[in-house]
Formats: sequence, C-alpha cells, structure tokens
Amino acid sequence: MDFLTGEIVGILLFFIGLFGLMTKKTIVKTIMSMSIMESGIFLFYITINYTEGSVPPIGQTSEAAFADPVPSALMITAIVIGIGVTAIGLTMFMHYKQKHGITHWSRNRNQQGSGH
Amino acid sequence: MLYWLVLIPIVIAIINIMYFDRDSRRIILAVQLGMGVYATDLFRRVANGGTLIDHLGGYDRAIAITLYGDRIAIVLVWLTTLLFFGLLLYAYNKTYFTSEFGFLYLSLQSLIIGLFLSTDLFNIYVLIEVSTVIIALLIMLRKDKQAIYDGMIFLFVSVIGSGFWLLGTGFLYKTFGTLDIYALEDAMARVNDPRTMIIPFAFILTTISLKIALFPLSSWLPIAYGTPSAPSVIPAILSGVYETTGLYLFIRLTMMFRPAIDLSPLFLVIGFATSILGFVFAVAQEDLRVLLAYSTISQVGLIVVGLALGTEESYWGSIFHMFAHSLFKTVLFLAVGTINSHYQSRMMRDIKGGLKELPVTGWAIIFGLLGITGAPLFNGSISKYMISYGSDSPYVQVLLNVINFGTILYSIKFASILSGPTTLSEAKQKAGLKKDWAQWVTFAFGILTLLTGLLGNQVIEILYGYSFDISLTSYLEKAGIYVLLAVAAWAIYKGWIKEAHVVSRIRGIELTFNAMITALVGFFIALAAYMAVII
Repeated sequence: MDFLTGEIVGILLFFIGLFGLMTKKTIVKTIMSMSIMESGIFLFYITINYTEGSVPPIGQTSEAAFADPVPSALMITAIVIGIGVTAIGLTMFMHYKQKHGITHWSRNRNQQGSGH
Repeated sequence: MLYWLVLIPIVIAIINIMYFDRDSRRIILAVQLGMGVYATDLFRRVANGGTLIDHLGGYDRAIAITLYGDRIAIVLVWLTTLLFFGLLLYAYNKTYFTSEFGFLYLSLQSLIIGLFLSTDLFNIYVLIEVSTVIIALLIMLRKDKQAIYDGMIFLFVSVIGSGFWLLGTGFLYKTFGTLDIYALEDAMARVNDPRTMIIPFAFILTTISLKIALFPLSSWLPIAYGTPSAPSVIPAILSGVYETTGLYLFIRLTMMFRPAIDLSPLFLVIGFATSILGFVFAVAQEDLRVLLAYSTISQVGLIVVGLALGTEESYWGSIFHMFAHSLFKTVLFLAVGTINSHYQSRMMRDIKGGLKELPVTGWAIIFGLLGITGAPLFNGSISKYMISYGSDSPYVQVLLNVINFGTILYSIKFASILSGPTTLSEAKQKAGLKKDWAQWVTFAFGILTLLTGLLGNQVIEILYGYSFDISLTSYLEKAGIYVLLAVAAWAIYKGWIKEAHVVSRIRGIELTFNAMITALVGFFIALAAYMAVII
C-alpha cells in the first residue's frame, strides 16, 4: 500500500470534490464538495517533501533531518481562508433559502434558482 | 516603500469602520488623493532609477515575500489609484456610499495593488481569494434575490478556480522549494524534462484563464458584471482594474513557464475564439451593462492575441490596450450608471434620446465608444495598430479586422440609445440629472481616452519607456479601413441585426453553475492533454 501516500489521497480528494461540484445541483452540497476539494489540497501540501524519520525544526537537537515547515505554515493560512469562504457561502445560502425558499442551482439564471 | 501602497488603504479601511458610524467620505477621498500622489512619485522613481524591489522582513529573495515594482506594474498601480479616485468622486453623493462600502472599497484597492506587486505565488493566492470575497459582497450590496444568486455564483466559481492555483503552486513548491515567480523563472530554465511542468502549468493556467474569462470559461463574467442592483462603480472596478490584475498575472505566469513550455500558438487560437464569441454575444444583448460585460470578454481576447503573437510591437500594443481598455470601459460603465438612474432602466428599448437628455454623459459615451472601436485619434486606435503591426500573417490581419468589425457593430447598437426622440416623460425631464456633477467624472475619463490617443506615442514613451513610430501612411490606411468597417457594420446593423430572431436566441444561451465547473475541469484536462502532445 505504499502508493497510498498523502499526496495521492489529496489529489484524489481534490477530484472527488470537483466531481461533486460538476454533478450536484443542491447549493449546500456544492459547499460541501468545495470543502472536500480544499481538504484534498491541504492534505497534499502537508505531505509533500516528507521524509521518513524527519523531526520538527523547532527545539530539536537531533541528528535527523528537519521537516520542511513551510507547507504546514502555508496551510494554516489556507485553512483559515477556507473556513472564511465556507462561512460566507453558508451565510449567503441560508439567507437565500430563508428569504426565497430556494435550495438548488437553476437551469436559467433569469428564473433565479428553483426550490425543487 | 512599495508596501505602503498595500498597507495604507487597509489601515484606513479599518480605522474608517471602527471610528466612523456615518460620514467618512472625505477621509477616504483624501486618502485616495494621497495614494495617487505617492504612486506618481514611485512611478517617477521607477522611470528614472529602474525597478523597485521590497523583500519583506529583509530576508533573502527566494525566501521572503517580495513586492516587485517594475515599469508595467507601477503604471498599473498608478492607473488603479487614478481609477479608484475617479470612481469615488462619481460615487460621492450616492446613497450606497456608507462607511461599510468605504471599508470594502479600500480593502479591495489594497488587495488589487498587492496583486500587481506581489511575486509570491501563495501570497497571490491569498490576495485573489480575499478580493473574490470582497467583490462578492460588493455585488450583493443591496441584498436582493438576483444579487445574492449572482454573488454566490461568482464566489463559488472563483474560489473553486483558485483551488486549482493552490494545487499547482503545491506541485511547484514540491519540485523547486520556492514560491517566488522570478526565482521560479530562473529555475525553469534548468528543468531537464519539461513534461514535469505540465501538471502545475495546467493547474495555474486554468485559474488565470478563468480569472480573465477566456473561452470557454467566460460564463461567470456577464453574471458578475450584469447584476442589476449592484452600483455602477462595481462593474467599472471589475472591468477597469480587476480584469487587468488577471491579465498582468497571465503575462507574468506565461513568462515564468516559457523556458520550459511555450503555449503561444494555443493562446492565439483561444484569444481569437474568446474575442469573436465575446462580440457575437455582445451584439445580441439588450441590457447595456451585460453588453459591456461581453465587450470586456471580447477585448480581453484581443489583448491575449497581442500577447500570444510574440513580437515586441504587439506585446506593447497589448500592454497599452490594457491601459486604454481600463479608461474607456470605466467611461462606459459609469455612463450606463447615470443613464440607469435617469431612465430607471438599462434595457435599450426603453432608452432613446440620450444625447439630448444627458449631453455630458452622451458625449462621454461617444468618446468611450470611439475609443473601444479604435477610431483614429483615440487611444484604442494606437493599441490596435500596434497589435496588428506585430504580425505579417494575412490570417491574423483578417481576424483582427473581423474583431474590430464586431466591436463597431455592438458599439453602433450601444450608440442607438443616444439618438431618436426621448423616451422620458416631461416630469422626469424637468427633474432631470442635468446638474448631477458626477457626470463630469465620466466625461473626464472620456477626455482622457481622447488625450491618450492624440498623444499616443508620447504617452507610451512616458509610461513604458518604449518608443514606437507610427507611420502616417499606414495609420491613414487603417483609418480608411476603419471607416469602411464602420459603414459595413452600420448597414448590417440596420438591415439585419435589428430584426433578426437569431439574435434573441443567442441572448438566451447561458451555462448553469454545474456546466461552468464542468467547463473548468474540461479546460484543465484539454490543456494538460495539449501540452502532453506538443512536448
């Protein structure tokens, strides 16, 4: 099972999320698919350049190689942005649903969504 | 030094939202003025002393986040401050100009300037993502049904698009261990097997193509620009400045990958396709703002064509066309805003006699349309001349003329609102907006469109330090072709387009949200497959 690395799973998750975005017409499922897609990216980042037995670069005096801290640092920012975007997306969706009762993407924008 | 340009608007935005419940307009306006002066000073320094570079934190170039102010970037920053100042003047007396609007507006300015200056791929991702959120909020400013729907589509499509960017950046970091565009460009020349760059390039290019709305990824643009309730300064910012950030990224990223992979021939085709489809859809529209949105797509296609032609003249032609496009599109979007508040409609059938009713806006529209069609003496004519000068191929020349013909066609359609008997009631005419001084802002941008055309050569020399001699005979030849195209376009508009059923059918074509994402994935796969074949 060596081929099942974090990178591969990350890329798979990315495309699974995209598949959801291509096929699901419910707005809330779109938001979920987006989160899955983003999780894939986060997983990809935190496992790139990982070498077996490496140690964190802070507070260690070990002889072992240091792990690259940059991808993890980048992902902290990306996760925060991801949460922000998801929150805004959900707020918009809830406002839209409560006010107009619409939960699905519409066929034609001029019909402005549909409630089926 | 450069970081002040990013920092000041954001700090003022926060102070504005914290301390001013009601009126902070004067402070925001003063800040814009200060920014303009500072950007002018920086431009002077770059023009005299060369590129300005800020390594944030004082770290080494490959590690630090770098702000890179070369000539093109600094001109775009300067243009941004000019347009933001002008748009603010236009919006000054409008009801939507509250401190919340000021907060979003200033934050967006800071992010856009950051996008022009930053050379760090992850930093650019953050800037794109946050600016997307702010634009979505601006689109939804009035919170009506259509606006929220449009805002959601824009937000989701853009966020999904930038996910591609982030993953592509991850691949590049894995290979090179750096995120700086210029460090990556150097490293790219040492890549032994260009095939390893296919996946990251395809990911990153998909995001940029979506952002600048290249065919077939342009469906989000008319939705975001055309939201009925969004104030007219929003599409003006989107078309005038935000679109330019995407184009500038396109230039830098294709340059970065060029040592490994060169995709110019493909983008020549995509550019033409985008431009031609853009004008076909523009001609079909009834809503003035949506017409302008499709026109933006068409002009972006033209700019990409100029960049893909690969010669020096066409490259600088495209750069100048970006500048010119920002000016005349701002004029037209603002003019539509004024017309909308006067006639209470943006549908062409409801608006007639615009020139008589609103002479100032009417003349601004005429200047804007002459600019966009590349009429002699206007800025569009110089940039289009330079783009066509860059190619000897007869096919390219014919296609460029086809695009210009299409541009004239939808401009004639747009101009039809200026003539004819007025459709306003007498009471409305009396209560008219003739004293609305915001119109003069639109007019001033219109005059700039003319001036940057009249002094085209000098303007290009001052802005970019590039001298280009326009031969009088070939310029007159182009002017002759322009007149012929204009006559032909007028005849076709009167004789066919006005009544044709096919036009209204084209108007109805629209992609659903799911189809947009499918197009995005399809584009990515096609791009990767194309690269795999040519390398």
